[in-house]
Amino acid sequence: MIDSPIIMEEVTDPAVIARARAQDERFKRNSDWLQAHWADLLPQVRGKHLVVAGQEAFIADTLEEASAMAQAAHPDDDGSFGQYVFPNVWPRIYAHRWRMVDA
Amino acid sequence: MRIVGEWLMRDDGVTRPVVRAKVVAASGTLEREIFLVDSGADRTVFSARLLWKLGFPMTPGPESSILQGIGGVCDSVEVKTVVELTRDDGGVVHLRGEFAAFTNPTESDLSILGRDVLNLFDVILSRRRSEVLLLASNHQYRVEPV
Repeated sequence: MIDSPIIMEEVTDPAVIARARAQDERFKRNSDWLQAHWADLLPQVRGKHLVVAGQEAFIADTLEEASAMAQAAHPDDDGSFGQYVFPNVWPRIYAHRWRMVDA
Repeated sequence: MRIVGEWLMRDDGVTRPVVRAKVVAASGTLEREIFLVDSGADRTVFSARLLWKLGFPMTPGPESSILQGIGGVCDSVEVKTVVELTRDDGGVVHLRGEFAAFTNPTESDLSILGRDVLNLFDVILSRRRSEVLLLASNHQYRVEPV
Protein backbone atom coordinates (compact mmCIF):
# COMPACT_ATOMS: atom_id res chain seq x y z
CA MET A 1 0.00 0.00 0.00
CA ILE A 2 1.37 3.41 -1.01
CA ASP A 3 1.46 5.98 1.74
CA SER A 4 -0.30 9.01 0.27
CA PRO A 5 -2.33 11.75 1.94
CA ILE A 6 -4.57 11.78 -1.14
CA ILE A 7 -7.54 9.42 -1.40
CA MET A 8 -8.45 8.11 -4.84
CA GLU A 9 -12.07 7.22 -5.59
CA GLU A 10 -13.57 5.89 -8.81
CA VAL A 11 -16.86 7.56 -9.70
CA THR A 12 -19.65 5.37 -11.07
CA ASP A 13 -22.52 7.88 -11.26
CA PRO A 14 -23.48 8.02 -14.99
CA ALA A 15 -24.60 11.65 -14.66
CA VAL A 16 -21.19 12.71 -13.33
CA ILE A 17 -19.43 10.76 -16.07
CA ALA A 18 -21.59 12.33 -18.80
CA ARG A 19 -21.05 15.82 -17.39
CA ALA A 20 -17.29 15.25 -17.17
CA ARG A 21 -17.09 13.99 -20.72
CA ALA A 22 -18.92 17.00 -22.15
CA GLN A 23 -16.88 19.49 -20.13
CA ASP A 24 -13.61 17.76 -21.05
CA GLU A 25 -14.50 18.10 -24.71
CA ARG A 26 -14.99 21.87 -24.36
CA PHE A 27 -11.80 22.16 -22.29
CA LYS A 28 -9.83 20.26 -24.95
CA ARG A 29 -11.25 22.45 -27.69
CA ASN A 30 -9.94 25.58 -25.93
CA SER A 31 -6.62 23.93 -25.13
CA ASP A 32 -6.17 22.82 -28.75
CA TRP A 33 -7.04 26.32 -29.90
CA LEU A 34 -4.30 27.79 -27.72
CA GLN A 35 -1.77 25.26 -29.03
CA ALA A 36 -2.53 26.39 -32.57
CA HIS A 37 -2.49 30.14 -31.77
CA TRP A 38 0.53 30.75 -29.51
CA ALA A 39 2.31 32.39 -32.43
CA ASP A 40 -0.56 34.88 -32.84
CA LEU A 41 -0.56 35.81 -29.14
CA LEU A 42 3.17 36.24 -28.62
CA PRO A 43 4.90 38.42 -27.65
CA GLN A 44 2.06 40.73 -26.54
CA VAL A 45 0.78 38.20 -23.99
CA ARG A 46 4.13 38.05 -22.12
CA GLY A 47 3.83 39.21 -18.51
CA LYS A 48 0.03 39.13 -18.77
CA HIS A 49 -2.83 36.89 -17.71
CA LEU A 50 -4.45 34.86 -20.46
CA VAL A 51 -7.84 33.15 -20.49
CA VAL A 52 -9.11 31.07 -23.40
CA ALA A 53 -12.87 30.73 -23.72
CA GLY A 54 -14.98 29.96 -26.76
CA GLN A 55 -11.75 29.40 -28.67
CA GLU A 56 -10.84 33.03 -28.17
CA ALA A 57 -8.06 34.66 -26.13
CA PHE A 58 -8.61 37.27 -23.45
CA ILE A 59 -5.50 39.07 -22.24
CA ALA A 60 -5.22 41.45 -19.29
CA ASP A 61 -2.81 42.70 -16.63
CA THR A 62 -4.69 40.93 -13.84
CA LEU A 63 -6.28 37.49 -13.66
CA GLU A 64 -9.51 39.06 -12.41
CA GLU A 65 -9.71 41.26 -15.51
CA ALA A 66 -8.91 38.45 -17.94
CA SER A 67 -11.47 36.16 -16.31
CA ALA A 68 -14.15 38.85 -16.32
CA MET A 69 -13.60 39.54 -20.02
CA ALA A 70 -13.84 35.82 -20.85
CA GLN A 71 -16.90 35.33 -18.68
CA ALA A 72 -18.67 38.30 -20.28
CA ALA A 73 -17.95 37.08 -23.80
CA HIS A 74 -18.64 33.37 -23.22
CA PRO A 75 -20.74 32.97 -20.07
CA ASP A 76 -21.78 29.42 -20.97
CA ASP A 77 -18.34 28.01 -21.77
CA ASP A 78 -17.48 25.73 -18.85
CA GLY A 79 -14.36 24.58 -20.70
CA SER A 80 -12.46 27.84 -20.40
CA PHE A 81 -9.07 27.93 -18.73
CA GLY A 82 -6.21 30.33 -18.25
CA GLN A 83 -2.67 30.96 -17.16
CA TYR A 84 -0.11 33.61 -16.36
CA VAL A 85 2.42 33.95 -19.17
CA PHE A 86 5.94 34.55 -17.93
CA PRO A 87 7.54 37.74 -19.25
CA ASN A 88 10.76 35.98 -20.17
CA VAL A 89 11.71 32.88 -22.13
CA TRP A 90 14.24 31.33 -19.79
CA PRO A 91 14.67 27.64 -19.06
CA ARG A 92 12.12 26.70 -16.39
CA ILE A 93 12.76 24.38 -13.50
CA TYR A 94 9.56 23.30 -11.81
CA ALA A 95 10.88 20.21 -10.11
CA HIS A 96 12.75 21.78 -7.20
CA ARG A 97 9.80 22.45 -4.99
CA TRP A 98 9.63 20.32 -1.91
CA ARG A 99 8.17 20.19 1.54
CA MET A 100 10.48 21.45 4.24
CA VAL A 101 10.70 19.28 7.30
CA ASP A 102 10.29 20.91 10.68
CA ALA A 103 13.47 22.68 11.67
CA MET B 1 -7.29 2.55 -14.88
CA ARG B 2 -5.49 4.65 -17.45
CA ILE B 3 -5.30 8.45 -17.42
CA VAL B 4 -3.92 9.80 -20.68
CA GLY B 5 -2.10 13.11 -20.64
CA GLU B 6 -0.18 14.77 -23.40
CA TRP B 7 3.00 16.59 -24.31
CA LEU B 8 1.85 20.17 -24.59
CA MET B 9 3.79 23.02 -26.18
CA ARG B 10 3.89 26.07 -23.97
CA ASP B 11 4.46 29.77 -24.66
CA ASP B 12 8.25 29.30 -24.63
CA GLY B 13 8.05 26.68 -27.39
CA VAL B 14 9.00 23.91 -24.96
CA THR B 15 6.86 20.77 -24.87
CA ARG B 16 6.08 19.46 -21.38
CA PRO B 17 4.12 16.50 -19.99
CA VAL B 18 0.74 17.56 -18.65
CA VAL B 19 -2.67 16.21 -17.74
CA ARG B 20 -5.86 18.19 -17.98
CA ALA B 21 -7.92 18.05 -14.80
CA LYS B 22 -10.80 19.74 -13.09
CA VAL B 23 -10.91 20.92 -9.49
CA VAL B 24 -14.02 21.35 -7.35
CA ALA B 25 -14.52 24.99 -6.33
CA ALA B 26 -16.10 26.29 -3.14
CA SER B 27 -19.32 26.85 -5.10
CA GLY B 28 -19.36 23.23 -6.28
CA THR B 29 -18.51 24.10 -9.88
CA LEU B 30 -15.47 22.58 -11.57
CA GLU B 31 -12.52 24.71 -12.60
CA ARG B 32 -10.37 23.50 -15.47
CA GLU B 33 -6.60 23.42 -15.07
CA ILE B 34 -3.55 22.09 -16.85
CA PHE B 35 -1.19 20.26 -14.48
CA LEU B 36 2.48 19.66 -15.15
CA VAL B 37 3.36 16.02 -14.37
CA ASP B 38 6.30 16.68 -12.06
CA SER B 39 7.80 13.63 -10.37
CA GLY B 40 10.40 15.91 -8.76
CA ALA B 41 7.79 17.79 -6.75
CA ASP B 42 6.91 16.39 -3.34
CA ARG B 43 3.46 17.89 -3.42
CA THR B 44 0.74 18.87 -5.84
CA VAL B 45 0.52 22.65 -5.98
CA PHE B 46 -2.26 24.71 -7.52
CA SER B 47 -1.42 27.89 -9.42
CA ALA B 48 -2.50 31.14 -7.78
CA ARG B 49 -4.91 31.64 -10.65
CA LEU B 50 -6.63 28.33 -9.88
CA LEU B 51 -6.70 29.19 -6.18
CA TRP B 52 -8.50 32.44 -6.97
CA LYS B 53 -10.96 30.70 -9.26
CA LEU B 54 -11.74 28.08 -6.59
CA GLY B 55 -12.88 30.77 -4.17
CA PHE B 56 -11.95 29.01 -0.94
CA PRO B 57 -11.07 31.06 2.13
CA MET B 58 -7.30 31.27 2.44
CA THR B 59 -5.89 28.95 5.09
CA PRO B 60 -2.18 29.45 5.69
CA GLY B 61 -0.29 26.18 5.44
CA PRO B 62 1.49 24.79 8.49
CA GLU B 63 5.17 25.60 8.79
CA SER B 64 5.99 22.04 7.80
CA SER B 65 4.38 22.61 4.40
CA ILE B 66 6.29 25.68 3.31
CA LEU B 67 7.13 25.32 -0.34
CA GLN B 68 10.72 25.82 -1.26
CA GLY B 69 11.97 26.13 -4.77
CA ILE B 70 15.21 26.85 -6.48
CA GLY B 71 14.40 30.56 -6.23
CA GLY B 72 13.64 30.45 -2.50
CA VAL B 73 10.61 29.98 -0.29
CA CYS B 74 7.15 30.47 -1.84
CA ASP B 75 4.06 31.71 -0.07
CA SER B 76 1.36 29.08 -0.12
CA VAL B 77 -1.94 28.09 1.42
CA GLU B 78 -3.71 24.78 1.94
CA VAL B 79 -6.88 23.85 0.06
CA LYS B 80 -9.07 20.87 0.91
CA THR B 81 -10.86 19.82 -2.25
CA VAL B 82 -11.22 17.22 -5.01
CA VAL B 83 -9.23 16.97 -8.23
CA GLU B 84 -11.14 15.22 -10.99
CA LEU B 85 -9.39 13.23 -13.70
CA THR B 86 -11.02 11.49 -16.63
CA ARG B 87 -9.93 7.97 -17.60
CA ASP B 88 -9.35 7.08 -21.23
CA ASP B 89 -12.51 4.92 -21.15
CA GLY B 90 -14.57 7.95 -20.08
CA GLY B 91 -14.76 7.02 -16.40
CA VAL B 92 -14.06 9.57 -13.71
CA VAL B 93 -11.58 9.48 -10.84
CA HIS B 94 -11.66 11.77 -7.82
CA LEU B 95 -8.54 12.61 -5.83
CA ARG B 96 -9.59 13.91 -2.45
CA GLY B 97 -7.28 15.63 0.02
CA GLU B 98 -5.41 18.75 1.02
CA PHE B 99 -3.44 20.46 -1.68
CA ALA B 100 -1.03 23.37 -1.56
CA ALA B 101 -1.57 26.48 -3.65
CA PHE B 102 0.66 29.36 -4.62
CA THR B 103 -0.63 32.78 -3.63
CA ASN B 104 1.42 34.90 -6.02
CA PRO B 105 -0.08 34.78 -9.53
CA THR B 106 3.33 35.32 -11.11
CA GLU B 107 4.92 32.41 -9.19
CA SER B 108 3.99 29.70 -11.68
CA ASP B 109 2.27 29.48 -15.05
CA LEU B 110 1.12 25.92 -14.36
CA SER B 111 -0.31 23.89 -11.55
CA ILE B 112 1.91 20.99 -10.57
CA LEU B 113 0.94 17.35 -10.09
CA GLY B 114 3.43 16.12 -7.50
CA ARG B 115 4.25 12.78 -5.93
CA ASP B 116 1.46 12.93 -3.35
CA VAL B 117 -0.77 12.14 -6.33
CA LEU B 118 1.70 10.48 -8.70
CA ASN B 119 2.62 7.84 -6.10
CA LEU B 120 -0.87 6.41 -6.60
CA PHE B 121 0.01 5.56 -10.21
CA ASP B 122 2.66 4.07 -12.43
CA VAL B 123 3.79 7.11 -14.39
CA ILE B 124 5.03 6.82 -17.96
CA LEU B 125 6.51 9.89 -19.65
CA SER B 126 7.79 9.07 -23.10
CA ARG B 127 8.67 11.98 -25.32
CA ARG B 128 9.85 9.54 -27.99
CA ARG B 129 6.44 7.91 -28.16
CA SER B 130 4.60 11.11 -27.27
CA GLU B 131 2.94 9.38 -24.33
CA VAL B 132 1.94 10.59 -20.87
CA LEU B 133 0.22 7.81 -18.97
CA LEU B 134 -0.90 7.37 -15.37
CA LEU B 135 -1.71 3.72 -14.71
CA ALA B 136 -3.41 2.10 -11.74
CA SER B 137 -5.56 -0.86 -10.69
CA ASN B 138 -6.31 -2.95 -13.78
CA HIS B 139 -3.53 -1.50 -15.94
CA GLN B 140 0.18 -2.18 -15.72
CA TYR B 141 3.26 -1.77 -17.87
CA ARG B 142 5.85 -4.25 -19.09
CA VAL B 143 9.36 -3.55 -20.36
CA GLU B 144 10.43 -5.79 -23.22
CA PRO B 145 13.50 -6.03 -25.43
CA VAL B 146 12.78 -5.09 -29.05
